[in-house]
Amino acid sequence: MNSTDVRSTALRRKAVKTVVECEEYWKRCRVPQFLTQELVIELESHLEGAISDGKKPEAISRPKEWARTQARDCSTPQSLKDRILDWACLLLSIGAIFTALLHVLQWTPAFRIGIRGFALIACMAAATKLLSSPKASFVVFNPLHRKGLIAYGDYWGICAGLILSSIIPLESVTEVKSIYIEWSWPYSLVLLVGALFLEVLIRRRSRDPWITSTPDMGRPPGLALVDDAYLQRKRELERLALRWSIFSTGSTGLGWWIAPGEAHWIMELVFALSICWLLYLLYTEFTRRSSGGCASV
Amino acid sequence: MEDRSARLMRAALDICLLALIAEKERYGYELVRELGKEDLKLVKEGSIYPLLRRMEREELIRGHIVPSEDGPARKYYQLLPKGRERLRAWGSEFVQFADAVKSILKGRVDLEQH
Repeated sequence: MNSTDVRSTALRRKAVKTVVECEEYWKRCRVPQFLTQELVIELESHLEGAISDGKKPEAISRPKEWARTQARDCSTPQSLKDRILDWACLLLSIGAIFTALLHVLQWTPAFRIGIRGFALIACMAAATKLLSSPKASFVVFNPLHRKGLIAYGDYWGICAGLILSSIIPLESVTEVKSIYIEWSWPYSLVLLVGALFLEVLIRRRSRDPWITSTPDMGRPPGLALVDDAYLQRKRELERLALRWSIFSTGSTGLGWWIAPGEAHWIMELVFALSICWLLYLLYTEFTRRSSGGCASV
Repeated sequence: MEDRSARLMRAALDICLLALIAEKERYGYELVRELGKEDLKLVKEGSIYPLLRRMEREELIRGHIVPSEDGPARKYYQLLPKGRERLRAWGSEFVQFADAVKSILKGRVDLEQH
């Protein structure tokens, strides 16, 4: 490989990074899928042309700037009603997962839950919303943006920080006015059904008439030279995240087992969160394996 | 000065794009390249795409994806009859305007110095 080839490959690698970042941004901006595909195609062919003309990808435009310019007239802003529905669905889903986990962990159909429990659910919902915003796509969730760090680990770290910082001040308030309610399994069931109902409702409302009439074009060949390299790196990071998650679940499980008094309760929730995350990672891993995507890595 | 030329460019960009597409089917980067050849440098190369999409919505042009064996697919744009009409109208309007400005400047400003 001569120096021109090396330079060209390096430029293409940068171009792929730009495409990945922009695509993630457009998805988060709720740009319809078929439009996102078109935007990706246009960006890829533009970068390919620019590279063959000897331009650097960053000389054309910064990814953030490009993504914003294109998203401006493609994304549809959410109405207030849709935002409220989104928040309600998120709160109910997180609430349903938490309470279901507490039922399982404490092995009881009913338990007491206080202000801290509800604050925790609200914090998790806020953290999830914050991290799923388009602005976060250039910072947190791009594996190509990281150097040896795991994006999932960042998520966990931020959530844990939010949870702990909210629990500790609330501790003093709840000590004085210990307001607890008896939470029994029918409440959890109502949360679950409510979350499912809202999810179906949101999906129906957000169905784009274009999507049903426009056939899925499938993933175009893209900047083929480095597409495979990117996918392989992404898979490696995901598998690393899986190993890290197994380790952290084991550690928090041990912590939960040995933690005394109030710390026991906190560790229980952290352990529950670890299990949720591990289950999610396992689900994505098995889905990929069953579709044959991971066989070569 | 740069800001002014960028504004002038923005005002004439849709006509230029339509004219280039009228000549033959073209894709996004090809349009940027052609503009560059005529010394019309875009401040933001990505700014042509929202404009192309707007013209597509107004049914002046139509885009279609052409897959490629050895690289990314390209979206080629072709001019529609409504676009041809619009190009004729906008083009004559623009030439008229440019001629009027030129006649005002002629004899009053020494343009050779620039």
